[in-house]
Amino acid sequence: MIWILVPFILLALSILTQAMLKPESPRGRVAVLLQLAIGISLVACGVYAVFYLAADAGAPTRFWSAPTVTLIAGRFHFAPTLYLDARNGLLLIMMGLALPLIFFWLRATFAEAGASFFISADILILGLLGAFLSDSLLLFYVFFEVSLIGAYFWIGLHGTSERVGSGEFGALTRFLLFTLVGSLAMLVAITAIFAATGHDARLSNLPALVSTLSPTLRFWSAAGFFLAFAVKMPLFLFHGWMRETYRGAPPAARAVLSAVMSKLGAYGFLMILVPAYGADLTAIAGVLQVIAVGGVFYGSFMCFGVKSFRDVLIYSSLTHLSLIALGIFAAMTGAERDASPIQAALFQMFNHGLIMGALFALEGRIARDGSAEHDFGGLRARLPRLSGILLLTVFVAISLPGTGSFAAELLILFAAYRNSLPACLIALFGLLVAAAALVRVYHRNFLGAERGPTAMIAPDLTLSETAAGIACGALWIVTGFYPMLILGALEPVALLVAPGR
Amino acid sequence: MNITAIQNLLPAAILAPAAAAVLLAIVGGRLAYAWQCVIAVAGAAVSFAAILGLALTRDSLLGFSDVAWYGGDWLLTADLQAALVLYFDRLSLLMSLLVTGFGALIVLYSAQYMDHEEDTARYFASISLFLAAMMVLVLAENLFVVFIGWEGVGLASYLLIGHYWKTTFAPPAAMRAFFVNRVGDLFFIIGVFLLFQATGTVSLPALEMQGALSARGASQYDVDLLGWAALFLLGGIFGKSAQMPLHVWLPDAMAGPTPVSALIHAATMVTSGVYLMTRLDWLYTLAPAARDVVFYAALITTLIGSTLACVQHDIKKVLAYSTLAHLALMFLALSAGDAPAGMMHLFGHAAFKALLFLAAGSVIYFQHHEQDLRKLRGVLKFMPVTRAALWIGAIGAAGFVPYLSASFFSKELVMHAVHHGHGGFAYWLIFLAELLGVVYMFRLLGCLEGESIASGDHSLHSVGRESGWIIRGVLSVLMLVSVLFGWFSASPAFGGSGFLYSMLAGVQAMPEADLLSVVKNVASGLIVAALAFYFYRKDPELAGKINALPPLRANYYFNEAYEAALLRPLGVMARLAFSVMEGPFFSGALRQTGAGFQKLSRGLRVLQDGYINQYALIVVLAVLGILGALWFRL
Repeated sequence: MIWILVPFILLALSILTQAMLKPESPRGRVAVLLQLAIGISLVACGVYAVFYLAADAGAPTRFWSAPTVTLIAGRFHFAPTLYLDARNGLLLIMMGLALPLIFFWLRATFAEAGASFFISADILILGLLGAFLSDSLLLFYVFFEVSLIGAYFWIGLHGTSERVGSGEFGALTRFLLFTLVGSLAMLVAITAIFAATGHDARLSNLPALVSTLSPTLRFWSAAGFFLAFAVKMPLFLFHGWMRETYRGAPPAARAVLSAVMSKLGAYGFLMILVPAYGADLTAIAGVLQVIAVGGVFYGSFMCFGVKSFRDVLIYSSLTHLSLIALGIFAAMTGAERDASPIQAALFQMFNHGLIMGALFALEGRIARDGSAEHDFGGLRARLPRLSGILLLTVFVAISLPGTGSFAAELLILFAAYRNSLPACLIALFGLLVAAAALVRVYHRNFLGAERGPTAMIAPDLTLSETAAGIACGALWIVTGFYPMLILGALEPVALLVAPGR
Repeated sequence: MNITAIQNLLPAAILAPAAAAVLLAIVGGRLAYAWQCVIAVAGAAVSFAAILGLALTRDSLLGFSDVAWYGGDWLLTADLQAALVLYFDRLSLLMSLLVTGFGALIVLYSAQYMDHEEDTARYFASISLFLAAMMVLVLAENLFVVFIGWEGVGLASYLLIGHYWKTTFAPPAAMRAFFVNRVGDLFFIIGVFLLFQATGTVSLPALEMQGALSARGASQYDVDLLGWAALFLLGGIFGKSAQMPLHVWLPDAMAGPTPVSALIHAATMVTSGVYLMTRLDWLYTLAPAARDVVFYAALITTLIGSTLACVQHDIKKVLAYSTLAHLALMFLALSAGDAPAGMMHLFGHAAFKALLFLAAGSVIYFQHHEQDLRKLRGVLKFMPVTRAALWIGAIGAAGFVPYLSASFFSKELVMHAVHHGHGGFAYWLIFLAELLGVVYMFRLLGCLEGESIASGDHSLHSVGRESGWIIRGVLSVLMLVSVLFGWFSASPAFGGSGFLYSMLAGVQAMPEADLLSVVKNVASGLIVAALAFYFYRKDPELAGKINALPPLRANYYFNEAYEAALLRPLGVMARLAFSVMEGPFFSGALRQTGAGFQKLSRGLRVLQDGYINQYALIVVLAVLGILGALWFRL
């Protein structure tokens, strides 16, 4: 299993390469190639996990441990352990597809960028990758923070971070503070578990460890994790940082944040809160359901209230993330041990990642200056290929039956329906409104008579860029007609985190 | 042929147009126009041949035995199970013959009709996609696969209505069509969930078998739950088949090219609600409340359609409102419990309405997209085939000539069933609506046959030309089909064979038509047709005078009501909520947090007399937190 380090090594090589390249060298092109290599290694690992390991009913999960580190002599040992199975394997495939796609489609936007652009991007990706692969809780935390540092520098050094209100605090600082508040709460929780049990807490034995904790400690550690993941995802009511951070980020960072980083929060819920604290959270299942359904509804409402394509995408992302949360929470409140909503949530994380990555990447390359405020119209005349791929992606994003996201959403909605019919109806209504807003903003920008600053329109997709989009479309349609390819592989591992009753 | 080969014809009927769609979407733009046509026609023709092959290899049409094709699991989770299965019984046989046959003809027609247009590759790709999705819908064995086709045809319809995407009217019409349908589908999904909860399956044949048991009182199902399922499913059915209150999208859908209106918005897609409700007839037998809802909605829709069709100036809108009325008639049959009569009307309607649309398209094509009836007077003089097509189509639609009008006997059956089930008042309302149906059809003929006003703006373009041989050929075939449907729909009591009805109903015998009613309908139809033709031929402005009535002009204010009651409040509230919640509230809370940290940081700066930025502060807090946690335990 030591080969699981290959993507990490490639990422380190990527950082080194960018650090050592001469100023005049074509960094952008090198970065795309490096991302492609990283992507291939991620897809290879992921495919191995989803299609090979998952078929091994006896041991669907494999581990790799680094030598144990002693933190306090005789008291705290820390064994950095990575794991791989279909749960994170699927996310690796998603990353492995989304990252090269984003870098490939957006390479014009970072053609002039310096080394820090790519290094901070790689740090973000390294953090996300490590967090997805970590089995040790402490390692998970470390990578969780690494990703935040990467995002901070990427957006801070290369974004157009807006200063809002009094001007004392930019959106970025607020993003940092808010996510730090969340992750520190998690650190406290992790430390508490560490201290209370004396064990090296690992995701795989966390439920057993947590069950030995005192109720008070259990409550507070659950709250710590909850805060961290709710902010990271973000859930409704914890999403205040989202819009301004996304708007201020460079296009590629925005796409990566929405595609991959938002999944980290959902992943945390699924891997830590649901299996270890599921029984405790059942007590507030109603509240959680309100947050999730409220997020679907609220996000869709915001979609309808905003004007620019970028804002609609941001809030439609909130809507769909809330739907994923609805699936995750439904898994905890179901009457019996039920893997379906978890399978569906994981599958939808996979779909949503690639879809949002593609949408933000396409949106980010329309205007030369990267502004979201141009009032374009009739763009299809100048951008026929981009418009075609974007329309395809929009219809996949609104879960047209026959695409993978429909199968996933159907399972989530059915789980929600079994808990409460009104919740399911509100969620369906929210999805409808968000879909209408998304198609409406496509119409406003791409159809009708030509309008807006035509000099600002960037070139259309090239043939190879179009081919990449068509390949994504093929994937979405194949997984739409045969979703069991992925859902089936997820069943045994989803049962591992399904809370027992 | 062995059974496996036969089964494989089912997916072939879907994959052929699907492959054509993919090919055209990806490389179509680089191909010559002729090749685009060849690919699209080939896809549709292979699909038709596959279905025809399937039909002919079965023993005989009436002794048909069912065929299924299993394509693997679609969903197989603890919660939901459904397989990718295609299913071919007598109903799907007839329906798929209709879809692929008319599909192939109309794609062929498009080859000539679209030759001056832009974006033809996209057009042919979309119409091929439509055929593939419609075949999924028709052949699907369970409701989830039906739903894949259901939304697929919705997507194709959206793409084709919005074909003229540079205009101001087509994109909003496309969007309205798609999202009005989606509103219905929201309820449809809940309906499927309810049905699944009640029965544990979504397979149509399995449901029907169980439903037959239930009807005999051996039900193990929760009848209340089934009733709710029937009601919720109506959302999707009403949306797709344009019944009040979800009918508003269909007239606007005429923004698409005319062959699309013929195929999708007249002959096939809009009837899929009727088709599905026929498939679920057992369910609606168990849910009388849902049937009542269908009855009243269809009654209102038929009145809306018939009255508005009389006052439209746009030739395609006349036909669109007429489609509303005819669809409503099918639903009336279903609500009265005579599903075969509804299906029979579906087939007849498909024939004459496709014929009418294509004939109208032939006129529109040579008048450079002029669609105003008042400006098209006298146009038929030089178009003998188109003229014959319009007359045969109009007689079929008006439905007062037995053996020739495909809608005559199905209408008789519907009116008979309604009289039986809902009494005289409903019967006479429908009778009135049907007379209006005669009026608008002969008004259309009267307007077109009138003396042309060959002066000023009203001058006709390129007078004296008949359409090309493809269009004429397709029109001729459809004329024949329309007349044949009229012939085969005739009731045995009047010397007919009752062939269509017995194909659809199986063992159930065709109800006898009442002689008195037949005579009354023929006579009243003839009189009204003659009057309408005479007056409209004489006075082109007659329609304009009636149209001055405000409710008619505004199409009974449905659009205005939705705008005022739903869309505008939604938009205003969303914008308001955005400016209240997102700015001041959520971000404001963050701003407060930020300011709090800054104050704290200032305080600490004083204490430590150094440079502490926020990040360092956080690290300190983290360490404090860890120490606190450790201390708590130690």
